Amino acid sequence: MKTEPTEETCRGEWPFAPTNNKPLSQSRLIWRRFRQHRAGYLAGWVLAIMALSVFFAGFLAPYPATSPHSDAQNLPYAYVPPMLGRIHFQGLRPFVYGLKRTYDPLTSVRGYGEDTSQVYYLKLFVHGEPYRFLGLLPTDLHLFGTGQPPDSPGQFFPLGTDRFGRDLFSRILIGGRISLGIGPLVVLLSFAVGILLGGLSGYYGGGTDTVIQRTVEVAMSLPRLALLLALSAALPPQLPAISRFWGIVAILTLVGWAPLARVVRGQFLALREESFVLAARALGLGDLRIIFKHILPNTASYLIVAATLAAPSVILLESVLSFFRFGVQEPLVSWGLLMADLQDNFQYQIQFHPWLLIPGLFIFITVLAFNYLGDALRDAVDPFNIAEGPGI
Amino acid sequence: MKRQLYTIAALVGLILGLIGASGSVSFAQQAGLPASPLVVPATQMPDGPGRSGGTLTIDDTDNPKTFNPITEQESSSSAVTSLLNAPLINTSGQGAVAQAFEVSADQRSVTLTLRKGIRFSDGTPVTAADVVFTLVNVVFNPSVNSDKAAWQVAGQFPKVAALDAQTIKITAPVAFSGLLSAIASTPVLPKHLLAAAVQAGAFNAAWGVDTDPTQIAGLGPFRLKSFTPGQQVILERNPFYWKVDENGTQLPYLNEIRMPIVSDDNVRLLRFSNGQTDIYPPRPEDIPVLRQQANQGVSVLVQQAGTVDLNVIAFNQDAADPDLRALFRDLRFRQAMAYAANRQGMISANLNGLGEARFGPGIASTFWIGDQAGFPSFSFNLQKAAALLDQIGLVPDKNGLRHFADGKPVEFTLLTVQGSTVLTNDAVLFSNDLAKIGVKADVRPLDLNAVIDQLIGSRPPQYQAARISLGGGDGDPNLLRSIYQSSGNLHFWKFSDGSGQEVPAWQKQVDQLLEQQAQTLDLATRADLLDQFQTIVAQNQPLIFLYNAQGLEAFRSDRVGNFTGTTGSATLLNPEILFRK
Repeated sequence: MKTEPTEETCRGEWPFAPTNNKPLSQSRLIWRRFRQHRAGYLAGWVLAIMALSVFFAGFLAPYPATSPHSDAQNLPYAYVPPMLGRIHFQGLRPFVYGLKRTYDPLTSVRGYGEDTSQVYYLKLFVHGEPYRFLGLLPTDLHLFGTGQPPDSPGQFFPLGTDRFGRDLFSRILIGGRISLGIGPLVVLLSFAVGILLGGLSGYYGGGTDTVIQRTVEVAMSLPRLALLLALSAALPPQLPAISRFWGIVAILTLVGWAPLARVVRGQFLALREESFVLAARALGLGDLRIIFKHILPNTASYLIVAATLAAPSVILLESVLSFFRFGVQEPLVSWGLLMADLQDNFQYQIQFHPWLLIPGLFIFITVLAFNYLGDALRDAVDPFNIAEGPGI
Repeated sequence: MKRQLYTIAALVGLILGLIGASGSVSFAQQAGLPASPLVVPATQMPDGPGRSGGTLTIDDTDNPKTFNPITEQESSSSAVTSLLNAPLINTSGQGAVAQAFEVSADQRSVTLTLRKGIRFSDGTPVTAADVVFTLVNVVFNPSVNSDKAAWQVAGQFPKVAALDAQTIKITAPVAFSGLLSAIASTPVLPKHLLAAAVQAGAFNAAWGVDTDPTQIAGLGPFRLKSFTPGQQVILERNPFYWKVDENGTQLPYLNEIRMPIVSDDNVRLLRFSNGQTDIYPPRPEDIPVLRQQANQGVSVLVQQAGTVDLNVIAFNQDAADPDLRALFRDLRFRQAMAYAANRQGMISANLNGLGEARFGPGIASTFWIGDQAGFPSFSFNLQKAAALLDQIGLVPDKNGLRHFADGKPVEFTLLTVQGSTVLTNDAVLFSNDLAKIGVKADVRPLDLNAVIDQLIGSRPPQYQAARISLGGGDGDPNLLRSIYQSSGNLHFWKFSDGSGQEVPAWQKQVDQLLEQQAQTLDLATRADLLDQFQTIVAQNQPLIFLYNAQGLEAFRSDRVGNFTGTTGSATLLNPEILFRK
């Protein structure tokens, strides 16, 4: 009876002596080595959870990202502090108290206290404000919340609110779609361009190589941030937010393809003299077939690593752009945009409402996780050959 | 013991005598002082007479666009020109450049006598010819972009005559309630420096920012020393200034005022917190921050009376887009917008609670007004706003977006001033609420000078809608005529009114009422006319009125003495009595 090797059986002897006699496949080996990298493995999980959370953000978030909250007198619930620490329990039933405004005349600071006469239970699967599930299905079902109308004092803002009374937690989750999504998206597009041009350049060499490589050098010498800001500033201001988002993606791609093209070219240069390529050529296969069927798959593992390592810089660039208000714009939300909201009266906001810095923490964690993941993948795929990722 | 006491008393007497003596000595020696200066009593100085010398730093919000006190239109310029110029009389009805004035029995004419020996900041004596030149050749000049509405009554300008070199008589065609406030709002200009520009028909461009400082002179406490665009304006004391303190020391006390140009509010706050500037007009949200620095010498003043600024949202009824133009001219739309403005929300979220809602042109602190019961008020009510929009025929589609009859979505650009948190966030809040009733407002922050250019720089104005704040004059309704009267030079929401086209009936009524109150001297009758004016304006909402903000000031009390306030932007009040501690 054959048994699959379990984690227990192979630990300690890995990777040199698998417990059963069947040699491990390449992908299994990679997986093993990847799991060995503790930080990278953890980072992978963190990113996976984040990706899932932002994918189902509309459902997980207690509120829509752009809906401001105010009390019955139409006064916004501005700068409500995080209410995670204000959850109380009655037996096992969690509840929050109603919001009560406070004012300190000495410092003229406005805040919120708990109105202990009003108790609002936190419930699962509550009907709240309407949204479209996955952007398609109109519904008002949220994972958790108090189920109170928007103008009730019984709101639950896990991470507090911003100046307009918008729930920060919901904004972070929904904003994460853009912040997390733009990395892979731009990297994918950059790679498409990079692989095509780099591949052609590396495979054919000669004049093609020279022309493409000189273009790459020019593209790489342009001052990146300045170019980004200039290009985004050139986007017409009346552009709808969604088109603007795609404009930003295009601009980031435009700026990001060159280093990738260079790296792909290097790989192709190395591989095109390999015997299997020579064999394919001797058999009379066409260039395109050789490029896509024979060379490209051999660079795939490397490209995946490079992509993972390139993603965080795209995320950071998007944050920078949005921070300067040249990136994503309302009503879309991204973490960079949430940070940009801090710029107005930043002393007041940071000094008295420090929870508004939380989106920065998410950027930090994401970038760190991508870097660890990239490191782990690199070690796993080929612990000897790949030195450094290209970065965008 | 007794003896000792006596000595001390004698010593005190000696010191007092010495001060008295040195005071009178300096009085005689101050060469630039006119023979009969205006004495500022110590009671008007919060910290009493100060000491001369020293430099004060206050950030200007932007590059001044001009040093021309007649044509300047934005606070970054007036912050400078207000220090360089002075009127004949001041707003509280005391003599300034004029030593004395006399109002005739029929209240139609004012005879003013210039201060003896008074000179412009370049040393040239002031004569009646300068006053006549200022009024007749400049302010009343049709080619000059001046505030004519404040001076016009019964469609005419007052007659200005020089009785002799020192005496001027200004005679209005009819009794004119706004005559003194018009005089008090007009600076006296030097004829010898500006006559050529007027002759060439180029007064609007005179005293531009590239003018040689020696070619700019005025009667204010300071004169221009240098201006480096993008860096700073430096003003030096006017050695010919015409005010002294009780001890006979010529004012201003300060030698120099430096105004670095810093357009970012956050940076200005930081610079003030770090002690790089001495005075900073704070935003409402800076108050908690600054209160925490009280032990570092920062003093914060919150004035209950409120500023006289008009905080409004304006819709350009001459917008280029025909759909929007028709819409903005529709009374129901403007009323809907007034309903959609969440004033309490703006005050609470953006003003840190330091303000009160306002529905019409009134200013609570002045004699004629207040938002009293009885005036129409469109307080926040989105249902009513939506109902009005339905009435116009802008029906929402299934996504809740409203469309014009030709299928275009109801969408406009809402300008605000870049860097002004309050204005921009008001606009965002407004646009959020509009989104709920199916109207799309794109908030677009622009540089202040670009906004002003869109509002009044180009004819006809180019903007669609704007969230702006207008300096509201000192509360005399006659000074608001430039805004509300259809011929006013700040009538930016419907420029075509000024050219006489399609003036709506209510606007004609407003013109008439303002004209009538200008010709009425009895306060009760005037207040009654102004009530009618307010009712009409509040009903027709040519501007969507939002709130009165409280006046906020911050200064370094360990360094600056006699600080009496600013006018919201960097314009200092009573700069001549400020001194360095």
